[in-house]
Amino acid sequence: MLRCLNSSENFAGTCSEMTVLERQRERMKWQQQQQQQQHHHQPNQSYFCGGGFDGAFSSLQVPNSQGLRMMMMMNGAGAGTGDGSGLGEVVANANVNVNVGSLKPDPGSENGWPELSKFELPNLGFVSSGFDANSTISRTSSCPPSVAPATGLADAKGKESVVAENENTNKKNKASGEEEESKITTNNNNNNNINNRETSADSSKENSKASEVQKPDYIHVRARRGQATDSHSLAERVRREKISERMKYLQDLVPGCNKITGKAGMLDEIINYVQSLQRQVEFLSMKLAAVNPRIDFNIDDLFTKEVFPTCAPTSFPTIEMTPNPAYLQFDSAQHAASCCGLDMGLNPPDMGLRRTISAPVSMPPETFLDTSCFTQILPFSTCEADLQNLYNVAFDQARSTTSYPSQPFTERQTFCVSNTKYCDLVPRRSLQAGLNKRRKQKAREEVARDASIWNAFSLQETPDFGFVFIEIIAGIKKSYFNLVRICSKF
Amino acid sequence: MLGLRYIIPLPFKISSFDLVRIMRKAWRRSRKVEFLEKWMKGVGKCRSLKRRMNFVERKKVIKVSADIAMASTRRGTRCWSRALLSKACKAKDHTTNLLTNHILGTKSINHIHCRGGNMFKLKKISRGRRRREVVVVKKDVGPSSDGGRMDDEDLDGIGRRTRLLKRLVPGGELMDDACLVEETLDYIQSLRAQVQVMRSLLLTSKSHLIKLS
Repeated sequence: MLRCLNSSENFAGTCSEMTVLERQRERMKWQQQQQQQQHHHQPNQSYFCGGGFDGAFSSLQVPNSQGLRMMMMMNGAGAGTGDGSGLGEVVANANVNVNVGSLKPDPGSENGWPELSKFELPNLGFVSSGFDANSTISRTSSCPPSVAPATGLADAKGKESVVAENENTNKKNKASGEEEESKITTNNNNNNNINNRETSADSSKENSKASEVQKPDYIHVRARRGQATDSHSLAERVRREKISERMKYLQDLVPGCNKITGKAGMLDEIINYVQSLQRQVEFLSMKLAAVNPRIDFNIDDLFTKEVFPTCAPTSFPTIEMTPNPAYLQFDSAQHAASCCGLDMGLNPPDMGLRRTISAPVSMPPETFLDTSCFTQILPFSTCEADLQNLYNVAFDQARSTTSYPSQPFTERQTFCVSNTKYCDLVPRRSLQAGLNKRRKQKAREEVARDASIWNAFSLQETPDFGFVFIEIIAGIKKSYFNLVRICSKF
Repeated sequence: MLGLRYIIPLPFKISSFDLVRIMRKAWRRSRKVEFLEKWMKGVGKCRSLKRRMNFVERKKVIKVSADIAMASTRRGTRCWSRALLSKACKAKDHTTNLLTNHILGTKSINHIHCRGGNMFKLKKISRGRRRREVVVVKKDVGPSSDGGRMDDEDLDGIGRRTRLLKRLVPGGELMDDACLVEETLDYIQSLRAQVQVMRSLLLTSKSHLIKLS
């Protein structure tokens, strides 16, 4: 008993150095030992439970796990495994391991067992039978009882054979156990050595890796070919980083620039955007000049209506007023909730409320101040689609111009008329982005697009601009059509 | 208690977030309003001066005054605005001179002229940079004659594009790349604001005309 405890302690001590498999075995063993202690205290129970053998042998007919158990019993980790079967399902789970151990004598189970068997050998027969009884007890709970009577015939033979085999194998195991232990220790040592080697190798590798990791940094910091590592080039690199950072901001600012990667494309996009904005300013100033023959703007009107168009009518005050009471209610609800201790329960609805509230709260500034932005953006989105349509059609027509020169003109006109509302000068590249595949196509597209834009341009402001302007644009248009025709012949 | 702590700060967060947002929008709006006021000032000056103007003149007045107003809203904090204003100040055109005088006020014009030192500084810097640029160009030219490295660099076309962008942004020729990107950011923002205001004005004027007719 004391040895058992000692061994278990030893195992506990060695447990930290063992693998999971070994730990499982150790655990099994420990439990077996504990059960053995129980058996020593209660030998009578196991002693009179002869009928338990039926159950024990019933496991022969039960296929997998219990068959394995019987194998174990026959192989003579017997008493121990019998106890293990008393553990029931735990052992059933670990059966495969133990079975492997039985084929190739299990070090884990035998480490402690020789010692146990030393002073248990005299009453091993009883003990083993007791163990079997235990196994039956455990098994009757797991197995169907109908199996037991079928195996009841093989009782007597089973008893004898099992006991004999147990004795034999235990004797064998005594001898082999110590060897196994030594083997294990040697194995462990080997493993440890290997591990040590590996760890040393790893550490060396890590060191080398670290050096490698450090190296690229230096390489990264170091200039590329032909560049020096002096402060100038470092400053240059810092400057570049700065530029790239700001380019990111620009990317956010410029519409349609998010998808583009690469500095050149981004620069293109930015250039086009700036150009388009400048042209828009030009165009708008032209429009304003055309609209007002005497430059005579009602700024008061504009202040009341146009800069903040939504603030004057009904929408703004209603939206503006709603959040505050909502907040108040919300706060009160919160207080109530917290007082009642129902925080957690009320949290989800609170979140819902919050969302519903936060939506209108976030709305007013947008509606209030960014209406002009809206007027810009919304047309853009619609306009883009329309223009792309237009522009595809124009492109197709640019192809077909050779055969039907008269048709595209009218169609383009109609398209442009449909777009007259929104057609200011739109950033070009964003439209072009999806379509630039070949250079020829590009050239064609550019011409076609310009033609379409000019078309729109001219048709848009026919009432406002003078006749001269229209004539000029018509002339430009004609020249563009000629260009289209030329390009389509490529 | 945990729940309390969890719940209570959230609305404040939201409100602070909204406050920041509102502040930002208000700031933008104020810039827009400022721009509009200045622009209208310039346009009104021209209207009072001349009774009849042709289309081109009108357009020019509107455009120039808008540009100056936009630049003056930045109050000389940005290179592009300074470049625009100095360009407008130096212009020999009578109307632009008049507009700049009127919008900025003679004081600020004098200030700009007095801050000629500042402009001069800018010029000096620009000279230095030009020299640098020249050097760079020389560097570029050397290898291109040797092994066509110029072509390799030109495959990106970044240099060409930056030059284009420099031409587009007022005063961009004097800037280096980092400055250029920053200025472009600001310039785009103000251009946007300008376009928005102009659009809204156009809408009002159109509706006004419709009402009149």
